[in-house]
Amino acid sequence: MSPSGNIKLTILSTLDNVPLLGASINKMCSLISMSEEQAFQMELCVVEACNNVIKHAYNNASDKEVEVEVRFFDDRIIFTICDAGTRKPTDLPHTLDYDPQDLDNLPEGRMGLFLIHEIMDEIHYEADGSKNIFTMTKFLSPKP
Amino acid sequence: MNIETKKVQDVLVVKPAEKRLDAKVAVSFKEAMVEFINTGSTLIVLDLSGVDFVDSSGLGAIVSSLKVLGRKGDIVIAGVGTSVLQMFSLTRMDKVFKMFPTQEEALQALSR
Repeated sequence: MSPSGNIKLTILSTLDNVPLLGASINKMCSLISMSEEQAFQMELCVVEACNNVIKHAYNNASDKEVEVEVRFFDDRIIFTICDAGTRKPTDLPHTLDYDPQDLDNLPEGRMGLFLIHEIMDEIHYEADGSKNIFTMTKFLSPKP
Repeated sequence: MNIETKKVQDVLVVKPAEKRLDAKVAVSFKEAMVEFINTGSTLIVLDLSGVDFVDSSGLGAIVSSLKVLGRKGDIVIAGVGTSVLQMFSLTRMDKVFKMFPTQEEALQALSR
């Protein structure tokens, strides 16, 4: 299956650049007739993934590259985020279990990965030694 | 980060003057909130009506501010749009914070 559209965006690894990337993703998703809610969710997932790369894989070094490829298909949209930073631990928790009444134990971090897992239909991570490749898929119609 | 504030009786209204509350500004936002709390503001309305994007870092900074405040006061949220509301509902933070459609309604609730 070949994509009906394909675009690659590359930013330098600074948090200043992430809003530009996020706004671009949101606009692209709006153009393929996603709802405002869905377009926000796609922007959020890409922003969270890129923030993680900059903060953790690159340890806030600002001279590295973060590459985001977006592939549009009739029934899905696939985002691939590539970086050349530190390998991501594979055992990071992506649940968010807490008691909303328990003030002292409310979560302040680790919500990004939870949100990605909550919103996306498929997630795949691989590291080939020189590159980390994080792929997120969202089906545009009910999951086959 | 640009933040507008105003005092309405005992309540401090905090309104970020930026469209995004995200990883880029989360640290400075939290520092400002901690400063407000440490200088005696214990009832805070956080007016997000001008904010159209919040990521997990921005939300974490709001949660962190509430934890700094502890049980000696409250932070309530006003004016969230549909996108920002999703962040609160997806993470169940809408069960942690009282949410109000407008700043005026939030002020009324805190003044009771």
